[in-house]
This record gives sequence, C-alpha cells and structure tokens, in this order.
Amino acid sequence: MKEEAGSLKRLPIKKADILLALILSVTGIFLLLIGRLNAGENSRLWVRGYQDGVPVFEYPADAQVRTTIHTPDKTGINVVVIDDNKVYVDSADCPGKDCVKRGIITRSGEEIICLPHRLVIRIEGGEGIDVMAD
Amino acid sequence: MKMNSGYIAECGLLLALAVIAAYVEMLIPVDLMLPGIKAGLANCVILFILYRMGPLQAMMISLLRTMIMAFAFTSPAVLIYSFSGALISIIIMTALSKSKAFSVYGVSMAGGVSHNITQLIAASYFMLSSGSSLSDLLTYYLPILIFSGIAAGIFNAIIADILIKRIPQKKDRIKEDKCTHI
Ligand SMILES: [Zn+2]
Repeated sequence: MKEEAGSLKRLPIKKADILLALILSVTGIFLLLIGRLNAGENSRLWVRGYQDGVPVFEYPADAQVRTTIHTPDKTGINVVVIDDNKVYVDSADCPGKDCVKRGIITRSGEEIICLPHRLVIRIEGGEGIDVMAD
Repeated sequence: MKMNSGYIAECGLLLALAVIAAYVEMLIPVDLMLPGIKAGLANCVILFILYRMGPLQAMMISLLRTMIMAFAFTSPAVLIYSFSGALISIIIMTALSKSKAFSVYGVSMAGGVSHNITQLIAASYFMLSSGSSLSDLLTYYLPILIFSGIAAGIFNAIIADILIKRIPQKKDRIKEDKCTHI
C-alpha cells in the first residue's frame, strides 16, 4: 500500500514529452511573431460604427477617441472608446449591456454588437470611407 | 475482442462517462473564438480507455461520443469539426502510446494539439469564405489552438494519469471480480 501511494505522486513524464512540449510551444511562439511582423505591413485599420447598417462614425484605430453614440431616437447611448488600437464600449444604457461585457477588440474583423441599440462597431482594414458626420 | 455482455456494458458505461465529460465541458464557457471548436477537456476519459482497454475501444467510444454530442446537445453542423478532430487525435495518440518514448503526458498533448489543428483545418473553408485571411488562420488562430491544445493535453494527462494508476488493468480486475462473486 505504501509503495502504491508513492507511485501515485511520481509523475511519469519522459524526455520525449518535454521535447514535444518545447517543439509545439516554439512553433506557436514563432507563428505569433510572424503575425506581429506581418501586422506592421498591413494597411491602416479603421474603427467604424454602423447603426441599422448605416455608417455613423469612422476613426483610425490608432487614434485616441472617446465618443458618445446616440441611438436615432435619442433614447439610448453607447460610449465608445478608441485607445491606440484598443476599442471597447466603456458604458451603455442598453438592457443586458452585452456590448460593454464584450470587452476590448483589437484586430481587423472583430466587432462589438449592441443588439438593443442596433449598433455594430467593427475594426476594418482598407481605405477610408466617407461618413456623414452630424 | 470478446463480445460478452460484461464487455458491452463496460463500453456503454465508459461511453456515458465520455458524453457526460463532454457535456460538462460544454457548460464551461471557454471561448476559443471559433464556432463549434472545443478545447477537448473531456479527452481524459478517452485517454484512460486507450491505456486501459485499447485503441479500438478508445476510437469507437470517442467517435460515438462526438456523434451523440452533436445530435443531442450541439448541432450536426459542427459534427464535421468534432468528428475529424476526434479521429485524427485518437490515431496520433494510439501511435505515440505504442512508442514507449512518450508518457501519458506527451500522448495527451499530441492528442490535444492534433485535435485542435484538425478542427481548424476543417473549419478553414468556412472561415476563409466568410472573410478571414489565410495569414489570420496561420498566425493567430493556429498558435492559439496549439497553446490551448498543450494546456488541455496537460490537464487531461493529470486526470488520466491518476485514473490509470488507481484503476488496475482489466484482466486483473476481472479476476478480482470473480473472486468476490464466488
Ligand atoms: Zn449594448
């Protein structure tokens, strides 16, 4: 019984296990680094907001912006913060507050959706578009 | 392989256990950002079956589990991801467990990572056609899935290692059973 208890505590890890973990980790880190280098060459990123599918604002993703977006009927607000490629909804008065809970988005293609206010905030690549500013 | 009633009962019991483990995993909100892709924390049951019953049983139970999960709890639409992931990972885990160089930890890590990479490959057609770029797949999703595969692999190995040590080989167990029954 004592011997059994001893063998339960000992880990069976072998050299090949550690080698495998190292190879996989190095591969993962290498791929992430390549992604970082590539990101620098990509075209400029924009943060765009759409209300009912219509563009309502556009800022460069590396800007420092804090803006309040009103719903078309002026009954609701979302406070959107853009801070050096980090985008999030800081506060909102929508039920559920899913847009606030979504947290920070940073990458092209990611989006924050506020369903009650029918607002979509998305990071997009490519050229700037003309947005009707009010 | 003997197909006696005890054997069938044991397979059914382990299949139920594998489904429950996968169901519990489903309840944990681990978001890997990809629809239908799971970290595979329930793989510890499959590892145990691989070591204690054999590769054929492990493969059978693993594949049956993905089908039961897809039809009962998630969606048949994600079956292609989970099924291919389960199939490739059990093949790789069987191969590595046959070579004596790896412990259950290496086998489990290889299973976790291959499970995730296979799911990414299966999902890549959908992802590429819905706007993801190939470089996103390779330099963002792939490394995340590699790291989560390693983490899930270590987690599963810890659980499976305990199970394997505490529950003896099947033939020894049958002898014990016979002794107690007579
Ligand atoms: Zn909201």
